[in-house]
Amino acid sequence: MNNNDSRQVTFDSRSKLGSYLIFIGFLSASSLSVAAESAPAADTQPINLSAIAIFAAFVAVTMAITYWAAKRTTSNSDFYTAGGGIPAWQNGIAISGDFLSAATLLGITSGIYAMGVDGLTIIIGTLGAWPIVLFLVAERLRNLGRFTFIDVVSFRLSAASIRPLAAVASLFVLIFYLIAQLVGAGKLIQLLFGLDYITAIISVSLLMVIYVAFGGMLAATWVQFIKAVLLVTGGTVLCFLLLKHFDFSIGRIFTEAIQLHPLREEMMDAGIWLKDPISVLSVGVTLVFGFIGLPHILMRLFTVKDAADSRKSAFYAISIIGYFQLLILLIGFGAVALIVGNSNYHDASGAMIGGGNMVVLHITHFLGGDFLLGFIAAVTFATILAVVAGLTISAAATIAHDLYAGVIAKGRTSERSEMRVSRLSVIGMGLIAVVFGIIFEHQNVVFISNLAMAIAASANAPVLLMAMYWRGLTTRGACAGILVGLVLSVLFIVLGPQVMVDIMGMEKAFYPYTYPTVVSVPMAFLAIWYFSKTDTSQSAAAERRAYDEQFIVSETGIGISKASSH
Amino acid sequence: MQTDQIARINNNRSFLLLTRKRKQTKIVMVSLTMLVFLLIHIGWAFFPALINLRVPENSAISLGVWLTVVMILTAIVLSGYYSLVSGSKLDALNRQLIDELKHEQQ
Repeated sequence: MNNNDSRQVTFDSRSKLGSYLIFIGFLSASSLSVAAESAPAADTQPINLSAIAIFAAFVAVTMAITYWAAKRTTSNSDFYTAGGGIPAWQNGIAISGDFLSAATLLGITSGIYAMGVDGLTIIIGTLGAWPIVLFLVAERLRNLGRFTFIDVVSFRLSAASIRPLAAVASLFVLIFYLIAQLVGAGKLIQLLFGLDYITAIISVSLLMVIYVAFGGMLAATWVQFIKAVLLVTGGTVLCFLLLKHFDFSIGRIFTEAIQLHPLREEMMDAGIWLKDPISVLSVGVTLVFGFIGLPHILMRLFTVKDAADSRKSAFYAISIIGYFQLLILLIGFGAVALIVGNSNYHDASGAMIGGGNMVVLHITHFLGGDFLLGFIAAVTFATILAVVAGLTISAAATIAHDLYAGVIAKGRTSERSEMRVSRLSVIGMGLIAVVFGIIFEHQNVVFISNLAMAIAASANAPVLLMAMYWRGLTTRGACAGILVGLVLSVLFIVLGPQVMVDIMGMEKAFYPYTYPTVVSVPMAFLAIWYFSKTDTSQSAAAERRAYDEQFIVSETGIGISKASSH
Repeated sequence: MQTDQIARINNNRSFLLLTRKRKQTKIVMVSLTMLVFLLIHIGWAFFPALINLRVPENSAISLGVWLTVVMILTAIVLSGYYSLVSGSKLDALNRQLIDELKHEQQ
């Protein structure tokens, strides 16, 4: 098929704006909703039977696994971390499944499609961040914590002061992320499967609750594992077909892309999206510190037997994520070469059918027909389920382990009652997801997902790093750091262009950058340092002395609990 | 952990060797990753003309694309080395230390 002659090199303004917003909300499927909102109802894709069949098979298999996992989930350790018995290789694949959201598949390809080479900064940031998680966090985290990263932060500090504050920051991240994912998911499923928005939201939430409430981390791990295998397989097949189409000449893909893209040669130039140095740096800071502070990703590092396996699983995850990002790079530019102006995928006005996020699905259809489209659409649905399952179990652990057992019951609680609270929290998260999913149906939720990432980078990451590496940290400094990070990230997002310009319609934002992290992250570190240094209390002195014990445990793993096998 | 036990481990030669080697490895690995990451970011932020260079000359592919590939490969290679090569050596040192401590206790 060669539609080059009939291609109209026009971008609908709505689609372009949608793509821009998608891009700034790159880490969440929330952004998908922007394009979906701009797409008329008629853009709903025709029913694809192969998509429905593949997705039904996915649900059937994962439900059977949940039933199996439920029988093995008898303790808190089983529920939160699968008893620490997940093999490193499997955990590595599951981490990549937890991490590679629909936004990676759809959002980054759409970003490259619309903005060209600037879209690659997200890939650079992601791959710059992950090794830091491995080198600095993975092993110490596994040795010092049991279920959540807050265990690590409160190892030698006053848990009564740290846990509620850190839990609130953590829940902000998880709930915002969950809402953003679900709103995007609802729109996406509406487009892909023709389901009503509310039905889509309820279906995803219900499946999420069933997986996590019954099967705990073991079921969530398998869901993420299977999804990752399907996603990488689908991406590989797609990339192979793309290369075959261009006679395995990568140069031809790029040459044809710049001939067809409205920006022509400029699409290969930096500065289309990130127009000034601070914007570039803020993306880098957000990604590096954001990933260190994502509670649901950190929690996965507790599911293996020891620090060595935690380290290995992070390496396997990096390899899979890196490989997948290479595929995304080629698919993004390949989509420009094949889809721009192709009348099969654009309406009469030149707007992309289904909205700006459908780039990867259109190129899938172009290269692999209805069956491959069905496969990728089903994998996209599975992707959303896997990510929301990871978020939900992390939120349940934060509520039941950090807030209920650690703060409300002050450690005087039975394992059974903590488990009950965990399961109730999962149901509560399901309800929150449905309610907020419906409330935000017609809202631009991009700022919510960026807020989640900014809070993770500003409130969680600095305190976690300092708790693990700085002897001088005290409870006062840690609380100050979390508060400063949390308040500044919320404040600057609200005063930034995403809320003041995009939502409130003002001409100019008080804070000109999308991400607050260039300010909030250094300020959080500064607050931790200042309020710890000036803390002359006796408890502060005791906390500094306790670093010696923490250091031994973090380096050797002496005294950590044994894993169970699955 | 008792205070005397903490002091004993802190003065143990195997423990000191383990922590020194691990610290060195982490510093080298983080520095290498950050070097690549920061060079690319600084280039992107302050020297976009460099990022826009076509490599090879007259091709459609800009340096920015190649640098992205370099970042991906750097991440995989460094994390593989850290995880499988130096990590295994450190694990062996750690096991040796734990055995020593067990013998001391007995």
